[in-house]
Amino acid sequence: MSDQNSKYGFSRRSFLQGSATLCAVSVSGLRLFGLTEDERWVDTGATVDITSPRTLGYNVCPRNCHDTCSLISEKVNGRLVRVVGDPTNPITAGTPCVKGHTHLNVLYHPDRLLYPMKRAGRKGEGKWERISWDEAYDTITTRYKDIIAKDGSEAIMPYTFSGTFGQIHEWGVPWRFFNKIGATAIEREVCLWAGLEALSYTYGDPFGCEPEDYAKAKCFVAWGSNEAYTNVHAVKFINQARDNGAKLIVVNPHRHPLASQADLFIQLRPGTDAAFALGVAKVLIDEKLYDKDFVDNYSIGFDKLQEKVKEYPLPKVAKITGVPEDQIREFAHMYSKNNATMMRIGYGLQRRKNGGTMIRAISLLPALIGSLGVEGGGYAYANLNHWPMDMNYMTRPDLLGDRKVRSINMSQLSRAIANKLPTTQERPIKALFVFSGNPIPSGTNVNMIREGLQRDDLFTVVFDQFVTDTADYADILLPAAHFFEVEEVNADYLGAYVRYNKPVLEPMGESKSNLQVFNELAQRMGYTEPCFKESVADVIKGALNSKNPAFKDITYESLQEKHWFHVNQGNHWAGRKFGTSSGKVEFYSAAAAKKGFDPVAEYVPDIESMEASPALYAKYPIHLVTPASPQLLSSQWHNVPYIKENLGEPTIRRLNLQHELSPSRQGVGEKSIWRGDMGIQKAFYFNQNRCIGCHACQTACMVFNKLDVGMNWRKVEEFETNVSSRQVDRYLSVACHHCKEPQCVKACPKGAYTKRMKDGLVVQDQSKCIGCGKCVVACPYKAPQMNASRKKVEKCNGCYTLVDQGKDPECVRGCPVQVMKMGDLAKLDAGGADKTAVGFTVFKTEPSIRFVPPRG
Amino acid sequence: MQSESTRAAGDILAYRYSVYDLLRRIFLWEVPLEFFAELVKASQAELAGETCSSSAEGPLKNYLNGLPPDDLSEIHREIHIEYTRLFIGPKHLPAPPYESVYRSPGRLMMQDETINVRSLYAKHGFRVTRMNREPDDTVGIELEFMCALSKASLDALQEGDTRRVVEFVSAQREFCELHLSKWMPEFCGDIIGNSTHPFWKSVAEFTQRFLEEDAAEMNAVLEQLGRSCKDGDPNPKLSVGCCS
Repeated sequence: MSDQNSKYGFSRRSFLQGSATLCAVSVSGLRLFGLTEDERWVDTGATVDITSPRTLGYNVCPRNCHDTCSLISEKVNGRLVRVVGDPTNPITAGTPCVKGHTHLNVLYHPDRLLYPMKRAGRKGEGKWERISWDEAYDTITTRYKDIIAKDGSEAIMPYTFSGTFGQIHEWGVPWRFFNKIGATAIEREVCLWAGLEALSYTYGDPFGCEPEDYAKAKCFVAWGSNEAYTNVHAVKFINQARDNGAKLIVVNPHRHPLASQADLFIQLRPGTDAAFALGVAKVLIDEKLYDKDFVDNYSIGFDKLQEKVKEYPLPKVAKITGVPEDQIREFAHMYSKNNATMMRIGYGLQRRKNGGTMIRAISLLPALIGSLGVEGGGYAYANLNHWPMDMNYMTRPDLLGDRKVRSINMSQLSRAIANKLPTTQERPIKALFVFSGNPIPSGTNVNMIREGLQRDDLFTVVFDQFVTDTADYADILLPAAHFFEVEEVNADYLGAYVRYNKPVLEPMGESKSNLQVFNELAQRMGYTEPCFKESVADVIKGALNSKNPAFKDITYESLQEKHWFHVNQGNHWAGRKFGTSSGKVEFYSAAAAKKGFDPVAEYVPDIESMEASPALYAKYPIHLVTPASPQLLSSQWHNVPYIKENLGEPTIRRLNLQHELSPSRQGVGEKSIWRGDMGIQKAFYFNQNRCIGCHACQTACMVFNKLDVGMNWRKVEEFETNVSSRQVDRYLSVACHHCKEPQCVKACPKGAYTKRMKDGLVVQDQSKCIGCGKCVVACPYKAPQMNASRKKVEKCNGCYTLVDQGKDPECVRGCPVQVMKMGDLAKLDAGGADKTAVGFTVFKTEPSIRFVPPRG
Repeated sequence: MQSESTRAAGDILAYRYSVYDLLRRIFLWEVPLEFFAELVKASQAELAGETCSSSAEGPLKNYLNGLPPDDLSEIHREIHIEYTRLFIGPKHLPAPPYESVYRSPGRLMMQDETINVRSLYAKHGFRVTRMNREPDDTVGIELEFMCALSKASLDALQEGDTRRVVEFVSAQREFCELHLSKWMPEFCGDIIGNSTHPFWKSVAEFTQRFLEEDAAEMNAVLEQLGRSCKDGDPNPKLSVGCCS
């Protein structure tokens, strides 16, 4: 037989057996590479113990976000099996966002970088080789030493900001290394700094209210912010205020979900916010709607503002902004009706040439209506005053010593590396170290960044969890550990929370934390300072600023025990004392004047605008804005199949500035309908008035029920509709409706479907399904779906295993805006719930879904 | 006295061992140059300028046979870079080398399948060296497990312990049925469909065909040994196949 061809085509007289070295049949023992043989087994026959008990871990999502969720991870046998939000944390309130539902899909993504690699072809060609950390470190330090000797230390430049935040690994220890080197400093001021400066001119510091304060507002203004996409956990606080009758005003060129729900939506031309704010100020002053007591006692420069607003008559403002005059007045009236009015100011609008001047103009309004120091009033922009770390300890600027190094703003990276800045023409950047950042999709002038990265004499290291567009041009790629694998302290920048992330896993593959990599690099550079030997625990203990009474309770030990702290600083404007040089709100700012800005405020047209370049504007009248996505965080999450499925294709939407006012709305007391008791027929109860269409419910369902990609037991649909002649978006989240007359039960020839007596949920037994598809045809809602690869039909089973334990279905638990519930159909009907909603059709099957009645 | 069938069983065990040893080295080691040179040398010595007509081994052997034996470094480098592209990254992996990626709905590492593989390793006294840092169900490690049990079955055969031979081959059969056969065909298909490199295409074809054959061979061995046991001798002496 051994000389014959087998039926599978093998000759069997194989070269595999022809070579002594290749043929492993030998008397010597077998050498193993990936496996370890347990000695005990050899001797005694005992087997290796690989089981470990189920444990819970406390983690923090560090992906640069206002919410910075507290998470609970469940670990079984050495791996994470589930991640939920910490239900005790007021912001997270039990569930992360749509992205956070898929943390494990990122952690265990097969494309994660697990080993150091080096480029094996031309830059950008895509050829790579795996190397050892030793080789990676040797390559980097040899090159750095060479560059420092020949070109000086400033030829080395870090680039970061910011996929991932962290007090230690991102704000802290990397800078010790770059300070010691004397590298070119990077100004990481692209995010919100213009606004911080502008607010400081007015109020002395930029800090303000916390998200929990929103719930107490009588009117909420979302100006240039998009909570539904980038701050989703704040939406529930806004909704609490709205449930109590608060008005919602949105100022934004983009009709985002809250804009569709708003009582007043100001859809202005991009870049014209300052003109609109000054127009509103004019109405407030002319119609004496401002708070005279506050202005008289707690501000300076009101007379200068009175003069300034004369330059902004409403016809002019309407022309600039595209907002009709009556809407400007409407805004001023609604905004000033109550001084418990909260204004949330977003960041997007100030990321432009005149961004700071826009925020300065907007910042005058909360003072005009005297909302500061009032419960539920004031503004919120960014809060950083609860960050508990001593930055000097963490970043060690003393390591720089007397050396003066140049600094380059991150938005100038393209010119810096393409040798187009005067300073880099003279002394080019020769080495770029990129971590927690990806400039190609997020920086300015992508083509020039690419041109710079392609320079043969630029040595680029990229340290990340996945290959990025930037990493395509790297010389060395280093694998970064995931946050479940790294000890960290996180502080958000809108609330006032300090959170501790305890590592629950060993880093996968050969990935490493930032601290480990920069410490090891420093040691190999020959740096002997003890700080380069510190552990994360050492840094936390050393840097915690416990001398400050606000942080007295926060210690390394208490962080481990309590997982998160709320740094309670009370109302930021209690006492109405301000940090300006006058101690008052400054409508006239000498500090601003000194920097060359209008001391009051002004509208500075964009270079390409109608006012600044009429000829150019006539030729190019379209202004594109690129809003965020609820499913992505800049360039992150795009590679997760469950996320990709919901993203759809890129779309362009034209903003028709039609400005019809929605009618005034009366809050319908959905709380009175909602009782949530157990009953005979369970039903989903959906609040279409408040749904933001983020797909978190759908994604939570897919993750929990481990659905194949392409299967959607729950779907979120989007509809454009008219409410009182105003065009708005509405969303509908639907799954199986567990009908009273379920057609699937009737249609199935194998009896795979059962309508449960105790709660009316319609559940399917997969083992009985023969994939005939009769139920798919029979159901008018298309709830049963054919899974082509498994050749079986599947559908929502109401998460009956959870319902049996008295818990909510996963879609309900996974909604960060809390717009869905499951309850007793009869009680919902008795309470006046609606049977239909925008986009929904009631068929004769009697679907068990009810809707919160439309408001108004 | 040795029957034809028992001699054949010995040959089969030795052959399987050598193939699993080869495959695990190819998939675990990134094919070091010396190893690749050995492969080429062995293939060329065997074929001696002729063409191999075997449909399963032919593509691989003929590819190796056609290489210039003294100037392999550039060819080997291309093979090495293609290995990196297919199985390590950094870009989206055309053929992710983990069982659970092929079998879990979210296409992820470290899923239930990984832990099931771990349990089976543990049942036979093995664990992965880098527990929880590299998936237990990585292709090279699964093949190494098969290789280790093949070695154990051969050792048992040499010691004349038929009961243990049956035990080891049965364990391999179970592992193939529960794991390798559930994803390797698709994994090899991904290599064939996404690589234009003749080495990796032919390795994938070879692996696919070999695993199909091996499933039948394991049944044959177990049947033969079962028959020997039934013949009355509870511990029949079997010959060990040698490299011939």
